[in-house]
Amino acid sequence: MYKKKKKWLAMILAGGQGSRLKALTDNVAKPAVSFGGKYRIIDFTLSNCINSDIDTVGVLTQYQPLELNDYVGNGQPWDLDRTYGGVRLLPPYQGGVGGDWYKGTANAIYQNKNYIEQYNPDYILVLSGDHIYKMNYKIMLDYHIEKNAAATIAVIDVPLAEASRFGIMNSDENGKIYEFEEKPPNPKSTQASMGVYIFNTATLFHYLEIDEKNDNSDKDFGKNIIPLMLDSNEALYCYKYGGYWKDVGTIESLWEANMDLLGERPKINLVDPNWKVYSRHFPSFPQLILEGASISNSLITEGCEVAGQVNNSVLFGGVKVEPGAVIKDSVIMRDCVIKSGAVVNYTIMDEMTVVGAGAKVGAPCEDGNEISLIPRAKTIDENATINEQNQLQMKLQYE
Amino acid sequence: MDAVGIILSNINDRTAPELTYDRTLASVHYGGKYRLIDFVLSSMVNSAVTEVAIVTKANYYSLMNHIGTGKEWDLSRKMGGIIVLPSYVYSGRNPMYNNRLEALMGIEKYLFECNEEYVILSDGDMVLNIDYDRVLKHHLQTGADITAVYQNTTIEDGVKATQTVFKLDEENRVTDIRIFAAPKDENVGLNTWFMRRTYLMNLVADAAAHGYTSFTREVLSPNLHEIKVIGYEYKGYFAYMDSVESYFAKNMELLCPEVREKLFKCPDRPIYTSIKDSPPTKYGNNAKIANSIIADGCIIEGTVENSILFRGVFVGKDTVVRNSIIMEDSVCGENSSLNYIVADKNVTLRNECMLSGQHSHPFYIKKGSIV
Repeated sequence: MYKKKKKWLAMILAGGQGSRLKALTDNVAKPAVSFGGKYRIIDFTLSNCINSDIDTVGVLTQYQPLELNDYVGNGQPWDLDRTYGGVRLLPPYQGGVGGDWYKGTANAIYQNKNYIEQYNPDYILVLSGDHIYKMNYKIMLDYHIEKNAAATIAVIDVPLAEASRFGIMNSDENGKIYEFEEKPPNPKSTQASMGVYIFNTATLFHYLEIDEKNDNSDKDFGKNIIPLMLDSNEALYCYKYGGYWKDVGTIESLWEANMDLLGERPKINLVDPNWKVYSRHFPSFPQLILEGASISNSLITEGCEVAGQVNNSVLFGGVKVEPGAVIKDSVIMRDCVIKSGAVVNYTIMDEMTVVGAGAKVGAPCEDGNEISLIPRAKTIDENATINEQNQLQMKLQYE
Repeated sequence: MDAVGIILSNINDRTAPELTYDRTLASVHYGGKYRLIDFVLSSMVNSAVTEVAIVTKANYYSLMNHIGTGKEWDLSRKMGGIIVLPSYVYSGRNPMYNNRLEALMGIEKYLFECNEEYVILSDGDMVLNIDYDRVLKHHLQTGADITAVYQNTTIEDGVKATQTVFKLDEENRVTDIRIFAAPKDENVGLNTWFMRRTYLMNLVADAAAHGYTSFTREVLSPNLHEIKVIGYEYKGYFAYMDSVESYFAKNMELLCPEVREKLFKCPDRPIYTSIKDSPPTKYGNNAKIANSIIADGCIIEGTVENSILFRGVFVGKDTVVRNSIIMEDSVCGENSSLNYIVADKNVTLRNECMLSGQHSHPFYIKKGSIV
């Protein structure tokens, strides 16, 4: 079979469960969680790939892959339906000599050695499917080549106080990494790894082979492969990225990232004709803003019908807001219905939930309350009040 | 469905010269994100037609660009799918056709090479959501040679006479066709004809041999006693736009819930259109919106009432847009007032613009203008 040689290809790690996103990842893998009105988290990484002229992308899936597989499909929305290359979904498989679940991020890449070898790439870009950012990997590759590095790791400056939550790269003034610390209690620098790696293919497989034989290894890039390469005196460089980057691993950070789309100068600019974020679309009528609606500082998507009040919120496609309903500081996902007089405050509401007339969901953000999370396809009774306690019950009932 | 769809894209371009200055009538924008051809095309796709030819003559860049490979209508196929047939597509008698019949003569070879039993022949410039399966059933039941789709409605006073009307007998057989409708006329033809492919080929070959130039006037009208043309009544929503005035009025009808219901909420019959990957629309702190249809990718800082905004429109601070249609990627600056405006694609209205038309005479701004 003819396979075109590729200069580089991308491998997206999309098998994570994302258990800290609670009910949102009960049915879907974290990269398939909805974000920003019409996107899924993985859209950002896939769009980064195509916008960086990468036309061969492997998506490594493991946890709850049905919806993610459906969504990525043949890659057409991202222009990744290609005759030579394109997107390929790579679940774990049974092989001649055994076969297993992906045991770690490094093992996931190792198990797909055959896929990578088909294209004989000079470089491999390893990415996570669960971060929100817009990044040109081409510039990073140029840097990698210029430094003659064995591996380059993208880093972002984080506040010193938060640095102990990340993998921290300590480097000299040339950007050469001399030390890597995973979640250090006393960080020496604020350069956090973004989970974006470029490796020379041969070097990467050399170390993957070694790591594979080590039974004590977690088979993880951050924990095992990077330290192993450092110990072997490989030239590892960090590539400083100055743009917006967010790991949306928790309900709080997912909410924050949604809010980062709002405001006069949003932190993530979605309106950029030179760097579009692509997503899978469905046929729906444009949005309908009816008499009596009041909307401020919000994102609203096609298919919505709004007759109520929407402030500081993100509405996904097909959401209906009846007259007199109020939505504030919330993220309302696809096809939810907020009936008249209902109030939704500081909430992330998963798809297809119906909030009955006069119901009260969530508690105001200003008063230091926690974010309320409403799982998929729930029906909230008329005039019901959803507070922290019965929200918990709802979750239990759901399980 | 065992039928090939033939869509004529610019048969009626001359009727609305402003709108078709830079495009075919079939690729005129409508309803916030659609183009007119989406309706016939989606109807065909929803009736499981898998082979569609779009016959076009000139000025068809926007049409080609919109259709692309046909992916959005699921017509990017190895077998069948969508094909655009411009003039000069075959060497023939009169490649630059002027009417329906000449257009069909130009694609005789295409018709010959199809395998489908039936042909749906339709203009691409109407708004409707029709189930062609029912037309086929009706066609078989009545044993018609040709089934002609019509709508039982009355031509209003003062509209341009650009539609044909049928006279029907008690069995719904067409007994007379008037090419220029007059006010009060009923049973308006939708320029949709259903027949066997071979039947159409014979009609076209015979007409070519006689040197005819009109499908309705010379092929059908004089032969209605021989050719069994049976009417099929379409009861859904139908709109035809033949002037800026009717364009404005018919777009504004979408603000009426019953119209949206009839056109867009037919179960399993969605209307597909091209995808622009626009982000959701962003409403600023001082946005005030009422009774409007707004597509994705807009940024709205001002006031919008009773209007239709297409994808990627910007409305600046302290600007009031009322009773207007603003097409794709147009910019309305700050501190402006717009009333009864039809702004075509890529129009820039700078700050402090005061523009107004009238209910019956909307003010049209040409594509790409800077005001």
